[in-house]
Amino acid sequence: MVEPVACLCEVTRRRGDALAVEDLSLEIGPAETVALLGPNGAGKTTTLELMLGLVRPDRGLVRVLGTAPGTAIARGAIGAMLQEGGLPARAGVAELVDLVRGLYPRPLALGDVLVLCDLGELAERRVEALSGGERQRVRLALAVAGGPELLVLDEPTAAMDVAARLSFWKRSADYVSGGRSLVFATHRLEEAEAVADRIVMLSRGRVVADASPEELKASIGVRARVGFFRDRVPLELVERLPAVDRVEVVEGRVTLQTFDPDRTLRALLELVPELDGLEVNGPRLEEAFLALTEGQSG
Amino acid sequence: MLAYVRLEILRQLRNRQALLFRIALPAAMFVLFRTLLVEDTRSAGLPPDADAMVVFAVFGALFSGLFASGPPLATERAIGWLRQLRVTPLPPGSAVAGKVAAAMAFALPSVALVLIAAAVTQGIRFGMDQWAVLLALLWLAAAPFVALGVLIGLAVTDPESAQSAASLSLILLWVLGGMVTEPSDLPAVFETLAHGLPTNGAAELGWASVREDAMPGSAIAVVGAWTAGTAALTTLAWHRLAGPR
Repeated sequence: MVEPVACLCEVTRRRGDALAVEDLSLEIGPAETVALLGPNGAGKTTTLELMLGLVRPDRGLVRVLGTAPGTAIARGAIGAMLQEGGLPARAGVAELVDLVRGLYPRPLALGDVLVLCDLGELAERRVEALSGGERQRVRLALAVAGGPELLVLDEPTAAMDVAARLSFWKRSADYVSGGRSLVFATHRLEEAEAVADRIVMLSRGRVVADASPEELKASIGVRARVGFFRDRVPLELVERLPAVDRVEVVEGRVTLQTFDPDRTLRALLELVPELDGLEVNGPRLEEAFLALTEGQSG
Repeated sequence: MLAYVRLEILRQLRNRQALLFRIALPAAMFVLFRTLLVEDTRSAGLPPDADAMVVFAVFGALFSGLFASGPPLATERAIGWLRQLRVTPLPPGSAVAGKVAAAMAFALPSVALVLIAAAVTQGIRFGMDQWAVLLALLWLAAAPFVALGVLIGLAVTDPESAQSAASLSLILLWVLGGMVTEPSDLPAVFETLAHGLPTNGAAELGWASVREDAMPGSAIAVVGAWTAGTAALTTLAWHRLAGPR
């Protein structure tokens, strides 16, 4: 068996009176990109903080690269972007990146970090003169500067617009593409789906699912949707189309839920070639997530 | 670690306004007070100007020591920079050590400028070696002020409170340390208190040096005890703050 890059073994951690994580077990393998997905308060940040040695488990064991998190950090094996992480005033971008590089045993070259995080033109800029998106890029640069094997990102794109988010994830993926591991927290389903090989869904401090995005959708049996205008459509025939599970009609629009959108759509267009307002949506992870977390409550 | 201290100092050097205040204010105050209040109330057995010079040099050490360490540290804590450093291989405590080093570095010009101002405007003349000893003494006496500043930065939760706490410490140590009124003119309780404060201890060391007397053991003990005490509390506060929660 390959040794995991990070593992939490039956970890419980209290926060005040509540349990932030409860009996949580999780392994991050080499070269894996894992999303911790869950609503606020699900225990994502605590899980990452346990991995970083910022928080101690009340029960259970946390190991990173076969050692305690603090030791792994001292060895330069981890780079992290925390949820809150201001940059010290009056420091220059390259200066800060270089400072952090100097702390690690096998850092990336300064130029490589600046290119990776698109900071070439900002190298001489002071941190207080940066925009929000630029600051996040600097923070990513600080996380990767030391060339760590494990990159930990806690909701890194929370304040970014769509374009910034896409390029941020591209840069992070570039960094780990050489066989490094990435674990990140997010509450955005589409982000987890697009970026991660594996999604670990958390709810109330417990793992409620741990699988690839495709497996997750399949295992929950969520359906794709095919929608169109109702005009001239024989509803009684539509119900009998292949793979259709449910038919809803709301304000002149029909929505079919299907477990095989290809088959349903072909048959539908054969039946009603002049169909208007057609819309097809893939199965939504959101439904999988709701199904899983609802199963937890009550 | 050295790179960290270097960046600390560079960052403080770039804060021109704050730096100017910390370095120039004590000297400016000395010149102002000596010009306005020529009549001296002290009787330490030395030229009054040299006496006041020591008092304002202690002010320089106190002001610079407290304000170059505490409030910036509180700010970096508040914005999460210290936490970010904790997830790098930087040895724990380096952030604090960096602040101590930077604050000590900036206390030196604060003290030196008062001595220079005294020499230039009041015509005080000592031999070079005496100046050097005096500067070194008053500079080292900034250590408990720096440690106290760091303690404030670690113990107080937000930057504004850290500013207030540093200001309060400045005023209390200055007034109660007998830097405004001769300790012997204070009520008995306050006189005893004054002799136990590091401001008075630092000034006594300075006066002894100016007079070329032996260093008073009591003043060395007071400054030493304050340095050790605040350093110990600072270490404690740091461990409470920096260990895993």
